[in-house]
Amino acid sequence: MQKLISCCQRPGLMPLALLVISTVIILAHHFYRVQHSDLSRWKGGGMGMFSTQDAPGTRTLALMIHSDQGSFLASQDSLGRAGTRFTAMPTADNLHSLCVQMATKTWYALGSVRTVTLNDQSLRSLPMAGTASDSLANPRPLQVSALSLTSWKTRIDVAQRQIERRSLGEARWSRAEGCDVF
Amino acid sequence: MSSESRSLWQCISTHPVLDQLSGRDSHQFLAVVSALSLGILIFHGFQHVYFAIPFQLLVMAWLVVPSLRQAGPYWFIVFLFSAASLWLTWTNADNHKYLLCYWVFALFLAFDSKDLDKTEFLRRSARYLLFFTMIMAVVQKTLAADYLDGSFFEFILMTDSRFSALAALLTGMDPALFAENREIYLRAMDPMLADQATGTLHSSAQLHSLAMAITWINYLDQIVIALVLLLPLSRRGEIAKHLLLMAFIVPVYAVAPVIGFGWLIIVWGYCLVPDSAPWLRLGYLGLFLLLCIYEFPWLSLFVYTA
Repeated sequence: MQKLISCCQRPGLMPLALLVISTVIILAHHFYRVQHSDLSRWKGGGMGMFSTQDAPGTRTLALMIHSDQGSFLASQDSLGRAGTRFTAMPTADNLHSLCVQMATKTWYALGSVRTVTLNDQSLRSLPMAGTASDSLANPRPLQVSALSLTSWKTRIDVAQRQIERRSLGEARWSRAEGCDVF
Repeated sequence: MSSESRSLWQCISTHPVLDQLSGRDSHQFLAVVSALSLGILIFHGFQHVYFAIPFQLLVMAWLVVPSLRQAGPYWFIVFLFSAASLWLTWTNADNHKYLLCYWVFALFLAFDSKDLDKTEFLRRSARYLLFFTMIMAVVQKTLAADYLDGSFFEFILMTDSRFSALAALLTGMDPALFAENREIYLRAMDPMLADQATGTLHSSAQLHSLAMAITWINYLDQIVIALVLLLPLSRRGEIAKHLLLMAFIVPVYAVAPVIGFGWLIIVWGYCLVPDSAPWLRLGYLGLFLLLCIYEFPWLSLFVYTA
């Protein structure tokens, strides 16, 4: 016991032990979250960068806004930190909190329309919406009746060279019923 | 070595600035390590909106009072801001932000204690943090379902624009195919195309082989670096260890220029250099500058203009 105490009294050992303990605590938290909250291995201090496809960047989050002026796709910037938090750790709680945050925001039509080409070469267009911090063409806020959030992760089956999508959950908000997570 | 080149080498090696940068004595060593660490904090530190202004004020305080960089309370405040910033963004923060926070903690512990051999403590901390980084990277790669079979790097080579130039150069595949892969992949992630079938990506046997080679070189390199950090080595062994670490830094950060991470590893490498080989410290300082050059997309420029 005396040996142990004298060992701990060696100068420099205690500070180093503090450093080691800090890293181990954060590491344990990282693995717990990876196991129970689908935290990406790339995040949370687990040193799992460049170890798996399942990075937050492969997780997509989309918000549709339904209003008196029609349906809008929310800009990615308007999803804010809650959006990036969800893509790093897509739990039902984080989706619910994101849904609540999005429902409390004031949305505006950005005056721009996004058009994509579908696989059959026809076109699909959707007007874009954003929050007050985005540049505004129309200063009148949208009267939002419902929101729908969808999220999925994308993974490539390298042998088949095919891209697979896996749902990470959906949430809907309506003025009458509030937020529901599926 | 001819007498002319020997005298040139002597002239360079005894130049007072280089002598100071090689951290021959403890005071110079601590000055260089703390200055480089502050450099990382300024250019690749914690960008949280709450802490941007406090960090700028701390850096200005250091410019006005240079002795602050070796003051325990100064590093404690830097550590508090770093830890608070990390706490608020923990799910999104990159791993090197965690490592930077640990390193700032180590600097605080070193400069705050009066009876501690600061140089020795920083060396031990650098050794531990470098070992921790390498061994945990190996553990994560071993645990991941798609790393050791080469899938991860094949995915990266197929779709990540930072790696396209390298892949095109080494496999002979048309660079346009990588642009097409990127387009197919972005369509799969596009919310407006969520109901559309996804396309098939372009690959080749050469790309698969390249992915396997990168996978195993990276994996084994990290294992070897972690192991040599544990072993007591002769002077020759120490030099070989540092050359190995440098051989890891030079190609990895050329392709994936995460400069903040690279700089941190370089500072740790600098700390670990034995006093008998100060020229290795200058080598690390050279790498510190090289990583700045890496921020320029030189590989893409070479491939796409060739």
